[in-house]
Amino acid sequence: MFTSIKEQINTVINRRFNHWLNKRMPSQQRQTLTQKNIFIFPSYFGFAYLFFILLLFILGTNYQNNLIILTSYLFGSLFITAMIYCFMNLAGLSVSAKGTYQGFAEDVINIPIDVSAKHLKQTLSMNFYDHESINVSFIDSDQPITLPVTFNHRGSHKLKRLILSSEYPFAFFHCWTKLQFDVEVIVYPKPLICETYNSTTITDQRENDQESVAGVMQKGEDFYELKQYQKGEPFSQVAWKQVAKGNHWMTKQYSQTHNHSVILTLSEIEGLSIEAKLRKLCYLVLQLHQTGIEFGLQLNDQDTDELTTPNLGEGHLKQCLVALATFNSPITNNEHR
Amino acid sequence: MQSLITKALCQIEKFVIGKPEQVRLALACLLARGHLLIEDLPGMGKTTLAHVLASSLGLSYQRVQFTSDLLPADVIGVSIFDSTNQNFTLHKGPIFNQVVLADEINRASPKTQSALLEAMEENSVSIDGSTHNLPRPFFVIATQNPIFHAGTYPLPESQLDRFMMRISLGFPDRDAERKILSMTNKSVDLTDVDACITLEQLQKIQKQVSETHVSESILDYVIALFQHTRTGEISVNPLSPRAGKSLIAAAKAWAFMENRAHVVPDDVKAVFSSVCEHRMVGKQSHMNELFSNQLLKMVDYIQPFDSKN
Amino acid sequence: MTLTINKFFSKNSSKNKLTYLSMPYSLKLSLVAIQALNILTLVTELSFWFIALSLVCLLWHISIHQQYIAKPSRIIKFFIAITGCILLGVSTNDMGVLIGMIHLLCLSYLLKPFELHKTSDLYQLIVLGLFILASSFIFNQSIYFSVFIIILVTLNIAWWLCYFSYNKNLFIQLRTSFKLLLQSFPLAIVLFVFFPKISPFWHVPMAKSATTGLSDNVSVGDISNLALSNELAFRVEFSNERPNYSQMYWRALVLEDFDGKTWRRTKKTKEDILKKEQLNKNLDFNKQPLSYEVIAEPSYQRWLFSLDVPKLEHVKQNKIVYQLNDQTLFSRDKIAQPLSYKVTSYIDSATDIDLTDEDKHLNIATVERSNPRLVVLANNLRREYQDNHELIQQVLLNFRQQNYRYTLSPPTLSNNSLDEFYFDTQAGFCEHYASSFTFLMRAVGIPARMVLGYLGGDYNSQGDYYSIYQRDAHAWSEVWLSGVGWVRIDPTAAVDPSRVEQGFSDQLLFEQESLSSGFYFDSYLSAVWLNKFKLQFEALDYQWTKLVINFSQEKQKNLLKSWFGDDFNLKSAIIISITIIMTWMILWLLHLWSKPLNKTQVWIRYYLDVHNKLREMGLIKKNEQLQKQFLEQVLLHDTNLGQCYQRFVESVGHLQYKENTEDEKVELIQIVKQEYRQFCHLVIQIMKQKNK
Repeated sequence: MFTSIKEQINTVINRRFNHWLNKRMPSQQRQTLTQKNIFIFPSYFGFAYLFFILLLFILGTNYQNNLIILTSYLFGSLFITAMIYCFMNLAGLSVSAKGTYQGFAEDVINIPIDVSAKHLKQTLSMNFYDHESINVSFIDSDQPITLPVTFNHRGSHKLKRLILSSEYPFAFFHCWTKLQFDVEVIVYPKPLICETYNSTTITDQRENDQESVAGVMQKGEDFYELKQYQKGEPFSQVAWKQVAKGNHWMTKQYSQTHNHSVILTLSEIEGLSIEAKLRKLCYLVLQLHQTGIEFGLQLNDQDTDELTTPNLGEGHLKQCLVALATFNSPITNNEHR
Repeated sequence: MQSLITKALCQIEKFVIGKPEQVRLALACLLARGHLLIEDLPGMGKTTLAHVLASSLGLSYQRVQFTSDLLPADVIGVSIFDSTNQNFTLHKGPIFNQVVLADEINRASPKTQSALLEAMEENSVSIDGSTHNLPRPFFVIATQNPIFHAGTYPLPESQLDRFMMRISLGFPDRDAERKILSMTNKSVDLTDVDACITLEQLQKIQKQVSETHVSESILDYVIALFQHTRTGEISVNPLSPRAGKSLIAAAKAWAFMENRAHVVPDDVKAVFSSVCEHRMVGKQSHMNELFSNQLLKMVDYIQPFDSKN
Repeated sequence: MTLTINKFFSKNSSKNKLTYLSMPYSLKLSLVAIQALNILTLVTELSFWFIALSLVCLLWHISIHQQYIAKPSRIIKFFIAITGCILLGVSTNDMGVLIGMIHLLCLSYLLKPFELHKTSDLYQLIVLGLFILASSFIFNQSIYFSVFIIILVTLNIAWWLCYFSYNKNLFIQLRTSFKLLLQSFPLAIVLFVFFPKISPFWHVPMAKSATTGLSDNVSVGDISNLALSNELAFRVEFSNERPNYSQMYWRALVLEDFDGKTWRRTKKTKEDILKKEQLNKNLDFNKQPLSYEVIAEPSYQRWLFSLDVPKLEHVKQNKIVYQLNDQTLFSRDKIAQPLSYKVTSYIDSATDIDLTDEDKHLNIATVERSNPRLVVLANNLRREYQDNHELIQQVLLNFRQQNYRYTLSPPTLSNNSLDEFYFDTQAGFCEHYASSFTFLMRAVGIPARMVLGYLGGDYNSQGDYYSIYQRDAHAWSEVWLSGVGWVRIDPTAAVDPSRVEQGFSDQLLFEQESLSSGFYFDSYLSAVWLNKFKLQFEALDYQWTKLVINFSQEKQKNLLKSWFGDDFNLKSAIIISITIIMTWMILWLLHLWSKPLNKTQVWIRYYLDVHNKLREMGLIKKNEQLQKQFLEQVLLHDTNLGQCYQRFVESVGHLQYKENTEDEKVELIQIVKQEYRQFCHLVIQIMKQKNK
């Protein structure tokens, strides 16, 4: 009962805070740290240290010992100097990040961030909210840094605030900032190995295709290029003229050699849930891309679009993966918890 | 002076219907002594705009239809041996007009294109070794089909820089189109357009435009805008100082047309897209938004440098 | 907000992981060295078994780092801790509470490195080290020691920086740490001067150190032992006139109780403290009084020093320093750290012209059995001389004319017998003469007492002050003559006049040198420049003691009074110190904020503010938006506001973008200000209407 109320209060306060944060520090491509966006507060240890100073002061006063009192003042003044140093260690840092990045769910995706400083900055810790943090020992000029993020669910995610913090020089103070950047991460579903579809449907297709390849050959389709011969390629494609000349074994490549194609349909995949099906599809797409078989992807039964027409290549693969990632429920988390 | 401008604008808008923004830009370009590139599909009223503009300002006008077999001499002119007089006489080409409409410039061969562009740059042409000054004011309106039309020689990026502005008219809205369609019956007669401004007045206006005050903060704003194209924040061709000069000249003209003796950020913003977009054609085309618009979003017009650094 | 606070209060696992283990070997080793140095500052207070234990622990740390042996298991660590605690518990009774606590502190500091698991452990270790350094000031406050401590603090902080910085080079971090401390010093000094000194909150245990200097019971031979010590007893700075050497009888103790062997001080009660009205009685105001400031070195005794006849200057000082009816000064507490007080002395003033019978009786009491031969001599003398003056002169004459020797190494006397000295050995130090003289006087029937103190002093020309060392310890007599009061008589002057006139004779110096086993720096300081150097150092130490160590509540008040006038009190001191700290902070903040503010002109600030207000009303001006378009938005929202906004923007535009002369500018700024105010009013009105 009590905890739930507490949680509610927390969420309300957090929402207000994030609202304030968004107003104060809106998303920008390049952000420079100033007193406007740096927060600083004594750490636990900072408070303990203050207590230590108080103890020293009492000791000095009780013994009427000026040197101990002076020492306590010196340590107290060091506390303030350390605060300035701590602030200065973040101030002036300029950070920029942007773009869209792709990767698989539960995989580490590296987000490049450009950090530059005019003066030396020491021991910083950086992370995206909800993600793993890394320690940067120092920054003294322009420096590219990659921050790892991991997502558990597919979809198009907008990254939350980048948190930069430092405790230099003495950990009396915790100095931190939260910056919002427009960085989007498209997370593909994690591939799920599925044997059946792989072995049956595709091999069947291939047998059919083999014939069509032969047919294509006879028709004399457009000659495309000569390639180094690799074991297992049909002899019919070997450029005998070149071999006869004493050159290396070459094969003739025709522009439509791989005429056979597969169309992957979501509804035909067996699986418990949509997510599982998508994961299997992802695996298949990757497999087909690797083996070099043209494939199309049909996620909705009715529509036929660019993806459905069988195709090959990195671009097509990417398009398919993005479609898989964003299918039906593009999970975007703009709200901060 | 401004009243003359307004009068001219009214007159032009009678013929070019539903495009007040573009008409103003075109006029500003002329007042700023720049050249204009109109990029649009055929039949959008490019020619009409050029023709009306010229006649409203009382300037001599010639249209050159560029084709792939057009030779530089066809544009500039040629010396022909006159057998009766036993000497060469110069046959001036269409370029010796105050307003030249180079229609579909991307259809001509690069050689012809560059002849025209050279003339635009130098304000003079040389034929058979003798230099001939072009009339003043000299205003070239080139039109260009969007490049995906087959059989064209698109202007190289470097040469696009010669044009102060690039505008596109775009499709008219419903009301405007209805008006246009109803007018076709009467067949608009472009020849009976009255000149609103004399040549002298025009030259005076052009002088005044160049004297418009540009404050430090406007310069800062322009510099900030340009610097953003150079830092690689958005992937565009960085803008050159020449582009900056054109931008300021255009902004001055715009300010003049707004009846002001000084330039404000709004003037810069108004002409920025037309002046700069074609100069920084992106390395990768962006889906929806113009680069110029992105830039304007990025830069704080009131404190161009403070807010960022 | 809670989110952020939670964020850094919650223990982040990666942050809490101790990176100490991955630190370079040299740094770990230097930590051991720093620990050793920190402990060294307290070494004089630590017992031998503890020093041995520390060495074992430190060597252990080193061998762990060298990987000779593995880290100790939990049982072994527990065992060490328990042993240490038991040893401590056993010896606390002998050591006293303070030293016991110091031992405990050092023990935990030594054992902490075995227990470094989390970053917070390391913090504890470092703070403990700093605490040890600070607490060592309880025992030693000299300037050299302070410099040493500051160097150690710098070293500690440098090590700490090494831990947090990417750069693990201790020498580079030493520079940073020095810079940090240097930057911290101004505020510390300001605080020291302005922050009000507070009286002790509660009574604290004092160190049970061995007492030094004079003691309140003296048998013959005690002072000649003291004369071998070159330790500093106290220092004196005269404010105007300096007395002659022979006038500088520094009175410390009056011994009235004699049991035949030992002179003792009678027990003093509260009633013996001189009251205010008693103070000025009998003082001879005709002569120019001597005023001076004494800084007594810690002796762990309670008596203080003054010239005859003293008068304490500040009444408030009475809280710490009292004056007794035997004209000696007395401290409330044992002197554990340098104590300074101001005195005015009225030289040669008479005291106690009327002596009570009780006192008279006390001061002629003798134990006749102890020195029968002297009693016989006394009886003879009495018969011979009726006049007390003559009698005294005769006794002194005897000392002078007979074959008495003044020596630091008198022959040992059986049973401390004065008879033996007076009649047989006839060689002794000041206490021999003073003692036998006083006894003789008492036997004759003249009230007499022994006074202990110091004679003379070394003048430091660099610092314009006198240093009085233990070797200057002296004993003399006082006799009471009716109508005159107590009169100082120094029998030593009869035996060895040079001792009284200018200090030790060559003979005595030679004796001192041969008798003292220790190495004395002084004797080797023959070169003049070296001596000058030494004097300068001593003068520096004196200033340090006077200005820093003895910067008391009283002195602070006087200093602040001299700066801020008379009506200065604690409250204003607090206010001033707080103001100074606040201004310090504000100046810093201003420094941060000033840059953008200074650059922006007034009207731009107005402009930004106006747009902020509009933003609050939901009207957001985007960068790319034309002023005209935005104006339409505002007009749609509220016509009045829009019109006001239009005027404002126009004026700002004129200011910002038009070519203006200075006069026009001033005028325009006025207009902008007006329009800005109008706008603000309108906004407030609109808000009010909304709320209704």
